[in-house]
Amino acid sequence: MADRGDFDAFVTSRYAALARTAMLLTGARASGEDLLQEALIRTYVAWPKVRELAAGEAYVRTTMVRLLIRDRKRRWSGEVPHGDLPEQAHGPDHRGDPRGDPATRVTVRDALRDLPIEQRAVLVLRFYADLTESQIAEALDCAPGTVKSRISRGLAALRAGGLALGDPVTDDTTAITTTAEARP
Amino acid sequence: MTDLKQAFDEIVADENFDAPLAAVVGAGQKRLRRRTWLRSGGAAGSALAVAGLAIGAGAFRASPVAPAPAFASDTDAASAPQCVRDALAEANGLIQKGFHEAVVVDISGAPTADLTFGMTAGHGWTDAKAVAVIPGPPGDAPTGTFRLWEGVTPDANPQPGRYLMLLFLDNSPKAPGGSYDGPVWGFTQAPIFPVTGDNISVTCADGTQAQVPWTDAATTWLAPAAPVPTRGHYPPGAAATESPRS
Repeated sequence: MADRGDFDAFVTSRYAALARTAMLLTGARASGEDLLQEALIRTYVAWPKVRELAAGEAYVRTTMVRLLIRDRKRRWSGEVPHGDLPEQAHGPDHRGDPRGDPATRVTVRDALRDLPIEQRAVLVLRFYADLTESQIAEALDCAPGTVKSRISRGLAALRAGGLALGDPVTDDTTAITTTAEARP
Repeated sequence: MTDLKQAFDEIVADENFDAPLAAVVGAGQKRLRRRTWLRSGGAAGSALAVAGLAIGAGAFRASPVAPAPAFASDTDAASAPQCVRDALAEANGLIQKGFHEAVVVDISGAPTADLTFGMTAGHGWTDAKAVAVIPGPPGDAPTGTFRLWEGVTPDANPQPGRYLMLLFLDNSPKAPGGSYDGPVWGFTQAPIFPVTGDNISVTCADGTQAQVPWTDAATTWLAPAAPVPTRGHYPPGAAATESPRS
């Protein structure tokens, strides 16, 4: 068996970040961890073939998205348990909450839930994982134009669902694109 | 106004995760062993394989060699011996829950080709031929001649012949600036069912053997309502459990 020693370090260092991405992709912590762990198991098996260690995270992320699209049974539907009761969103003042307004979290989470998996995936990869459109296209094995159209349709669907998106996100992705592409 | 990136960050801000490293590695090693054990069971394994019998840590194994007919009989899945039904359920679990595709594949010879796909490289077949795809949950499936990674060890590869195999699409990112040279599929090394005509051969560890039709598998033993293993996907104590909604 090929050496998989550095796989341990990879998982230890990147698990939390990947789990948060998985949680956004699936809409719930439990199903997100299910998805991530299946992706990590596949990555473990394929580890000797991953020629660049830096590609490990991209490999896991790609695997998660493809598994998610493959298994549409994991679609965000039905009851989703979460710790923040919606009623809390109507509290008097959340300006001191470092997590931001609970109403916004619930609204975004609910709106994201209704999106098709492909649109949800590109929005999460684009606006949470900070991937460029070309990186998303590589992960999904599709054309960059397809990624752009999915982002556009996803944002439009969020707006149509009543979510008021700020200008930097809705109309101008240049700033985020520049930041993401500037990463090493 | 909502900043989507900020909203995403806030949704997961309070979530803390502990990496279930032991569970992941354990499950990965188990999957590797399952791939390896099929054709590399040592001397005893080789002897039994020649006899068309099954060995391994599990209760069954589908032999990649021509099965001995001593206990063979044509049967439907529902009335097959328990160990055969266990084998079929194992395969169905991979289809219904494990993102695999059931494909009847012709293997022409040894896996000699150098394969590269995105950031992965290895050996395999460039001429594996998909004879039939068993309809299942939505997903990609190979058609015609396709590329197939070899098993974990060279001696764990199928001999030339026709098999019903459980395939999964490799998920490799592209190398920076690189391009794909077509997808490469992988296969789960147990179970693999030798195919003769419209039947597969299933051989249990105790030598019990059955010939089960594969042409109607999508509506019988590979149907969504057909049995799947009852054990969990992960070892006991692992953080991952079946989602109540999945």
